[in-house]
Amino acid sequence: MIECRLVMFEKREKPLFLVLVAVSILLFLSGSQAAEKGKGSGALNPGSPDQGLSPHPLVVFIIDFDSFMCLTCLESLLDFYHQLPGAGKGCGVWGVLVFDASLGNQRGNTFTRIIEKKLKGFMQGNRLQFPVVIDRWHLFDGLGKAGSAVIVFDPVKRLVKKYDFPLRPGQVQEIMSLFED
Amino acid sequence: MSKNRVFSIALFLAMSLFLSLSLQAAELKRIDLEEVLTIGSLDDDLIFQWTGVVVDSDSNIYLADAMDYCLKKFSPEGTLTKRAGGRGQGPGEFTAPRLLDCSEHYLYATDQGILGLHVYDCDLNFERRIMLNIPVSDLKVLSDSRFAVATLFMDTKPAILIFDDRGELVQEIPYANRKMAPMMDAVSFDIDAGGSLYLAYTFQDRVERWDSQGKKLWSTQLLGVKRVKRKNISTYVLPTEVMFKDVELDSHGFLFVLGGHVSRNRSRDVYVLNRRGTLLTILTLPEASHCIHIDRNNFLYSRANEGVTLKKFRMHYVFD
Repeated sequence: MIECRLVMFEKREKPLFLVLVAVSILLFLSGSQAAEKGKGSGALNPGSPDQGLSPHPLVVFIIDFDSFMCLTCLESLLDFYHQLPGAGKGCGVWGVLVFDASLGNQRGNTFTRIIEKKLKGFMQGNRLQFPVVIDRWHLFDGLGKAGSAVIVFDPVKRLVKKYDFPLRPGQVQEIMSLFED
Repeated sequence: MSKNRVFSIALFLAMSLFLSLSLQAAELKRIDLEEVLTIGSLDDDLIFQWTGVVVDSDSNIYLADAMDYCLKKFSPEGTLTKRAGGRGQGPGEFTAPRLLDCSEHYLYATDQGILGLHVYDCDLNFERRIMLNIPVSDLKVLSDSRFAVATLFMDTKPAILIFDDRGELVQEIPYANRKMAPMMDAVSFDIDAGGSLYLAYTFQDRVERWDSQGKKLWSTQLLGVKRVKRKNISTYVLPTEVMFKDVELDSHGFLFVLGGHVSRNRSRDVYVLNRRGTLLTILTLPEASHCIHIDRNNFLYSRANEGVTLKKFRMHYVFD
């Protein structure tokens, strides 16, 4: 708990271009993942609804692996997820799990498998029903440096916004308003 | 009770005491670990991230799993026999299960997000919740009707608090005469049969023994740390390096202290001391662990694979 607090205070801002890079990659992954129907490539919850490209808003959770050391730090994420329309069914929901590259380098594939297993437990324990990709190639590292976050894409309103967890009450309302149209 | 039975019990106790004293008197040279059981692998769904462990008198193993918010009971052979809990704040549910300990008939669990203790029977049926108005940073169950906790005090002198089974405070064992800087009073602790308190400070290079009346018997340093590193965090200046993560007594009275960030082998070195606070040997765990547990048969349990796996070791005591 103590270490977790320290991590939480070490938040830093990230450059905007990383968001754009991440969006591109995510959309690419989204398309290819839908084609594979959840088989292989490290995505969990293969049985979750097909969430290919659509005009609906897309919500992408950036889940910081460090948050697993302090599950209460993820309360805001979980509360937000369960507030989404139909718990995610009315909009596209994806997740990307980011982790410290140096840890992966030290322990190699074993560490990735550990992450995968913990993520599975987290998804099961919280009854989360959206696909999550483990960021093995650290493409999303910049987005997860400040801890877990959510990125909202609205293709109709041409909107891309990122919010860090924990969300403030005003931010929750702001995101929810996108789903009201 | 017949005279023969009383005599047998007295003889057994005397022999146990003699054996324990003999072991203490002999010079412990080293302790070798022999792995005897592994629970949880990268390929199964048994454990996702265990946080607390305890073993009952029948050698059943109980784990708290933070990832799926469950308590799990395993047979002595490592077979999952019962699972209880789930995410929530209702009876028997958890937001972040953490510490475990057990008495003869009950299992006690803490939740990082909920004050108080969850009480289960030994088959993981939820019994009740004991309300406490303090956060518990370490837990030691003394009997079916007594348990001791460490907490993080901000305004008062540090103390180990002993409660009865209704959550009423029955004893306070202070371990400092004055208030300490924030977090510097954080400790892991164990209590022996005579009521002596053994403390390992989380952020200080200090291991201590206190008697049940709050008198310090000894204090020792194991790491040679002169100065505690600190950092400004919000309005506080807080320590950043964990010195000791856990402390456990075995049935011989040897004290096992798990080192943290400063140890030569980070979170793997276990310092073994005698009752007088003399360092006897250091054993090194195969993998980093956040805690250790020693059952009444002197098997040692620790973490592997970042909490996905529990390892059980037989300890071979080697004397000069």
